[in-house]
Amino acid sequence: MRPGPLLTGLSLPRDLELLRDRAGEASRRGEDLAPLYEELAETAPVALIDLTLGPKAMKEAAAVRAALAHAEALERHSPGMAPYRRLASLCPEAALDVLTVAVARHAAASWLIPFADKIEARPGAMQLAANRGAAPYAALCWAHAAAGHFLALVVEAGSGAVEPVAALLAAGRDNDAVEAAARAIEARADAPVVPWLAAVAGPQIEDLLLRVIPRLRSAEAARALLLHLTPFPKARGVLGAALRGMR
Amino acid sequence: MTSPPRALLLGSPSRLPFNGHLRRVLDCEGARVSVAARVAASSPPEESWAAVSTLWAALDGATGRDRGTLCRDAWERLLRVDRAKLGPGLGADLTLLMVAEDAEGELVSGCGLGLVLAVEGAEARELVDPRHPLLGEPGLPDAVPRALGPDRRGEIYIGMPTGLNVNRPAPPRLFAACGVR
Repeated sequence: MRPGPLLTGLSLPRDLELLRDRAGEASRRGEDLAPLYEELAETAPVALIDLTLGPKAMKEAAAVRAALAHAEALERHSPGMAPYRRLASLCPEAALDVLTVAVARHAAASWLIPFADKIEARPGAMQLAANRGAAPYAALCWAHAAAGHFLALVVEAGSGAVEPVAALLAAGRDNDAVEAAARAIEARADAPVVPWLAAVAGPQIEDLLLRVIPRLRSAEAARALLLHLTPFPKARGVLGAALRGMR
Repeated sequence: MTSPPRALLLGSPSRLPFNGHLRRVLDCEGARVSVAARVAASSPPEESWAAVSTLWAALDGATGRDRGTLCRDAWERLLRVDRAKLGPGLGADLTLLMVAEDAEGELVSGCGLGLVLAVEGAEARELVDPRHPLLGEPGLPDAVPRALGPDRRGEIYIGMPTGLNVNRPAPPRLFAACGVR
């Protein structure tokens, strides 16, 4: 097989410096580096590592994105968070793409929690969504709460999941937990918000429920919540009255 | 009558410390009964809550003209519960602390208790010694358990489920450890 144009006449690893120059120029011209990386992955993985993660690695967004296609090869050289941290640091513009690939390949990894801090507008959102319904979901909710990723948890509750609600309450974020509870019920009327709130805070949660009620918009959500309010007569009365004002 | 719950249970050191916990106070004529319980605590919260709701409903309408009859009636209602509705353990994991009181005195009874603290102000003392029949293995009993009539009155009783190993803080943090908000 003949080498690609960027590799023509080069002997690797001797000509790594020359390859780096050629690849840099190609990248700046907007050329797609994917074919080069593909070829290097097969014939000269050390050169691939040098171009993507090395001290003089390519910093263009397209280069970083092209490198992500070879995440498996990069991880063989440098396991865990390291290759992703390096790629994200090379080009902040492509950092979200880096995180996307990292989450796709290591959905439950704990190192994604601090990693997301520097990248996502709502740190934690991507990993939480990726793990919805999976076994480590609750533990991840607690871990993100401990990391202060409250907004991501509130938004995540909008999927109808109750674990973010409970994690927020466990972290002492009552206001966020109340907002998250309302979002969870609105998204999924049968979301078991009351059992989870009580499991975290104890049976005395009527004050929280009274704060959830004004945030409900749909009668379906209100009716579903009402089913769980038997032990909370005041909240039941308030919600019953609110229901009469809803369509 | 005192207004705070007279019966509390310590939560467990877990992510969901109060999963399967119930707390209910019922007033009846001149008597009051306070119940704190834990059931199906190892189940998912939805299932635990269903078991809690079963206990809650069982206590509906508990009645008695004094602490003794109210305590007995509350227990008899609990004993009639369909155990299949108490989670996968069928009620065999139930811990319950009941305090019945009237103007003349109070009665403490329960099941599944490894320790009972009597709390007054900043002082917490063990209500009974470890061999006392108030303490024992968990599970809904087959008959109304015997009740203890404490000498002192007005204390708050805090139960620790049998087998639960927690460092219990001093009051008032002790109440937070029971989920008192």
